[in-house]
Amino acid sequence: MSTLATTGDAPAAPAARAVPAAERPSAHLLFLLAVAGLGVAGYAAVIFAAGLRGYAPSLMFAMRDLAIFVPVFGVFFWLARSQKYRGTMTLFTAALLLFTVGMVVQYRLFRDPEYNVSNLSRRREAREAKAQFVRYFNVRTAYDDEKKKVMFGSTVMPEEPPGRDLPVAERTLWDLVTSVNTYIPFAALLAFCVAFRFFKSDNFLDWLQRRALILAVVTLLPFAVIVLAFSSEGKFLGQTTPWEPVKILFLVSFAAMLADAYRHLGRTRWGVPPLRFALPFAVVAALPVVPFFALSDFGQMLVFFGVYAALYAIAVRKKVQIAYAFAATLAIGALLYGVVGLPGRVNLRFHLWLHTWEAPAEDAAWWAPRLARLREQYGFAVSNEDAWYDQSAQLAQGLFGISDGGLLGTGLGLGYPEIVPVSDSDFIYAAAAEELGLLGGGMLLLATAAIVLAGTRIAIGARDMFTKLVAAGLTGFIGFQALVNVGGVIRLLPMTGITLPFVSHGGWSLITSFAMLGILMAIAHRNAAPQPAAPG
Amino acid sequence: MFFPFTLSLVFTCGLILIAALLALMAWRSRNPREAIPEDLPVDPAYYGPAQTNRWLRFLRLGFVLALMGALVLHGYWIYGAPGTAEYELIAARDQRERRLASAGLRGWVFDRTGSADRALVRYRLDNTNIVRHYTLGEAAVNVTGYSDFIYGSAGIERAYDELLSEPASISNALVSPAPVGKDVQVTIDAELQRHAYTLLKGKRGAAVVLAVPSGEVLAMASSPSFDPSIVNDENAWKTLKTQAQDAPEISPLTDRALKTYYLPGSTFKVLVTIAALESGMGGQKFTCSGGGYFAPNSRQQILDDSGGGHGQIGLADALRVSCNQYFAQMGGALGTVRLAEVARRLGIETERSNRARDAEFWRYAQADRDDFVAAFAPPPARVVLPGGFGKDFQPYDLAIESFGQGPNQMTIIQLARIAAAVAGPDGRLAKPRLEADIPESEAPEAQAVQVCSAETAAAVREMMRAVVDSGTAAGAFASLRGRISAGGKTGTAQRIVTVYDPRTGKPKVVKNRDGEERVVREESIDALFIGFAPYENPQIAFAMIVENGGHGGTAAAPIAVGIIQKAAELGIVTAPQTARPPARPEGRPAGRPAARPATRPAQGAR
Repeated sequence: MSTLATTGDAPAAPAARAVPAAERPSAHLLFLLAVAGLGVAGYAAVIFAAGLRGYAPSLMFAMRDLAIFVPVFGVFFWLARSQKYRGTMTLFTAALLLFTVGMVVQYRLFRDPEYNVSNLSRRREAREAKAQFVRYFNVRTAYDDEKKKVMFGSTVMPEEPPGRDLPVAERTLWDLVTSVNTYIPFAALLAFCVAFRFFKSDNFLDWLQRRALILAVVTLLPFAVIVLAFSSEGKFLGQTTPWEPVKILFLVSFAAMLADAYRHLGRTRWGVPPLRFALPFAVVAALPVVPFFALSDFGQMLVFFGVYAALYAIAVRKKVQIAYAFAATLAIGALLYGVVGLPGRVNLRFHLWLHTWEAPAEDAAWWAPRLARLREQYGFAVSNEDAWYDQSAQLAQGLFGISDGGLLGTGLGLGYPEIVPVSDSDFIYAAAAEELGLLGGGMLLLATAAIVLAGTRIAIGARDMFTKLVAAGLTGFIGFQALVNVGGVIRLLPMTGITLPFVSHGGWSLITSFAMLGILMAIAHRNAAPQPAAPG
Repeated sequence: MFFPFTLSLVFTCGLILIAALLALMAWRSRNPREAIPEDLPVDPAYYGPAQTNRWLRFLRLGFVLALMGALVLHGYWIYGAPGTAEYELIAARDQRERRLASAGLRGWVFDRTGSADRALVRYRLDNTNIVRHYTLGEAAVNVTGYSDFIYGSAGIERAYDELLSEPASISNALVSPAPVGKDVQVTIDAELQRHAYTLLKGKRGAAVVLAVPSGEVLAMASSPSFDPSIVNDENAWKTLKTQAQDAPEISPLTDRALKTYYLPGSTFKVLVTIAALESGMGGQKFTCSGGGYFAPNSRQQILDDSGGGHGQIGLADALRVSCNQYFAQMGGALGTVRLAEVARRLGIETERSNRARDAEFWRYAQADRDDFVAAFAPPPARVVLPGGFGKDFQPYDLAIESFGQGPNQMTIIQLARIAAAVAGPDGRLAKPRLEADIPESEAPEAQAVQVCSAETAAAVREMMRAVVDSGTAAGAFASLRGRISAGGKTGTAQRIVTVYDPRTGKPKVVKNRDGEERVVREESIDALFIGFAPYENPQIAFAMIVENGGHGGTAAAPIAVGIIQKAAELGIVTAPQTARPPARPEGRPAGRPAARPATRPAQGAR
């Protein structure tokens, strides 16, 4: 077991470097104020646009959402004053910006009565009401008297444009108090603080590293039970995914094990590490993937694999092993493909990705049963093309939205992201890109890049292998997830149904993301502590 | 729209914030501090910070590149993809267009008067909903078309789709989420169109009325028809569509005025007459005997409807009594080359071609070409007139073609154009158009074609007047006599058509002795009429057909009479000075139409 350096017993610590001006908390306070200002502008844009499109978004809920900035500033001062935070604030600011964009886009979607009703006929009603509202507006403002006279018999417009106040799911004060969405952002900030507080402590890190294996097993068991017993279609008790936070635990335990074993794993003969170390390590490392496989959450698996591989590469750095891994992956993949064939779902995703617009052959082995099921569902023999059109609608409509958005976007509330199913979560990038344009998309991607750059910087500056790997792993987690999500929406990668961290709607994933942020910042804080002299 | 959009732009300024953050980070990383792991192993050269961090940096670079790649691909969907063939093919699936259109107000379609209360397509209040309304309903659906996102669109809705949804004003586009579209004015006269359809209702047939000499389509009716609002009724629409596939001959979706081939029957004799006069053969007399006429190398008898012969007969009389034998012989005497020349000038194809639609048929300025062609391009009218005789074109074929039977394929609008060619004051024929206010163009394809000399045109008019006064259409035109003079030509064409079961709408089938099913076909006698009015100063030319209506003079000519009367009521047709009742004050220049600016020389009475 390695020993962790503690700042206390550092011999002859050099004087702490002066904090650069721009990294002073006051500068970031300005950034955070700017983010809050942007949030207010975004909400105002949505509310104005809604007025033009014929529905009234709730001001109360806008206030509720914006109220999150109060604890945000609270956390900021807590960090700066109470915790004497020394690391970078960039992470926090960038994450807050992502979160604000997500909040605004979600507000825009969920206040839209067409998006926020589940019943199909109500949705149509809402759509028609919105259309009629705009028609009334147009007639009132753009038609001359002659046309009005022909339409209404007089130049006076009939009074009431119909359906102005269409109900959405959440509208009353009671809804606000009982809505879980009211509390999730607060819970996320709390998770951030707790994670920061714990991971700041050397004792905790030490404890964590020592019990990595037990930790993984203890996490895995109940998780697997829950997943196998209660979940349906990757969701638990309706729409929640309470296993999101266990990702952190898996990652931390993997990092701990790797930090423990990397020297042995690096001692190789023909590229093969001593089996005594390698085998248990491989088994334990592969375990977390099992439940995600059971959930058929391939996106999550992909992210796990990617992060694990990256961490291994960073710690062990054997090119020949990478080549082996590559070859083994290919071989296993080819073997699976040859023997079992790709699962239908994976085939579907790949076809969607590569041939979005073309229906697969009607008798393709993976498509035929799906098509038969769809036909049964529809109750009539829908044509192959139409069935495929339905399957690809989400991706296709998302792309059309991105395309229509252009550089500047249609403006918040003025596009049609409500067409795209789940555009509050998996497809939130498409929704943002439609209404905020390439600039909005760039904002999300650059903010993610900022988190990744800052996160890697933290990993580079880490004082020991464990924290280095944790920092790199968490950064990779956030970054990969963003890449896989955005890539799926714009056809860079197959679609996987993974959320965009900090942006997407989703309780547990948001809480998890903020907790990751807290850990990263705790490590940053440790890094910036006065450093012991380098040996040698 | 302007305000929230600006706010959204402000929101996007978060980009600047991020850029500032990144710049700050870059500035901070000028001299990175590489922490040395305290748990450094035995081999610092290999496990030292520089080595470990190299991999971290490498992965970071890869990751940032991937993110930028995503941004580039995002840009591709905006700037690269639209315009590629693959994308254009599926762009119609973008439901946003549908939402925009369903929320916005497409432009109105005005008739030739341009007044809002006669608009062909407009909006009206249905309970509290503002809905698109086709004021003429089924009477003009072949012109106005319909518009539906699932079932597509047709007619003007299709042809002028872009214009109708193009923002009409900048101020409106700035404030409205779905702007008001531009209005379109067409040459159709709403009242005349409605009346033409009324005259056809209950029959299967079509009528086209063109303004002379401008080529403006004043009315274009097709019956049976359907109400455009049926598109909203899924089942009814599907039934219609199925019928259109199974039984196009009786389907209301078939556009009989523009897109259906008919045999021209004797109306084709007008074309032969033009060719005869242009060739200086107007004085030619032929014998029409009771025993019939035999074309060279042919044993098939060509007879007249009346049964008996007309004896020795001249061109004018032959046209008046519609003598088949005369025109069979005249066609032979003229030969294919002369006939083909006149046909070509009229816009009729004379060679076999694979063109399914005549994309150059119309003149238009504001419509998108593809859309207009998809909506209105008719199949090209055809008459088979090869350079010489051969195995598949014998003198007999030429003979029967010359009186409108045989392999002729004519659309009703093309027949109306034949009438319009002779009705024009100088033998010139303009391209037909539906769009009002097309600017004059110097382009050769926009120019009118000289079909025949002014003298020929006048002579043919004279002969066609005789048809109406004392020929095959005299009975039908009796009611007009003394009020409005006209000229015309009847036609009666025999076709073999499929018989449909009136109950099921499917082709009627009989079984023969061997149990094989055979579709029943029977002869249909189509009644046709083409003509112009008034005689002294033609202002309209028209063609109409009543399928299986019997003789052209009794079934089709009365429709022409009805149309002329209505046109006179509407002021589209104004009788010249001399034909006016004496009670009316005099003094207006003869032949000047009241409803339209006189852009052509007045055609004086004689």
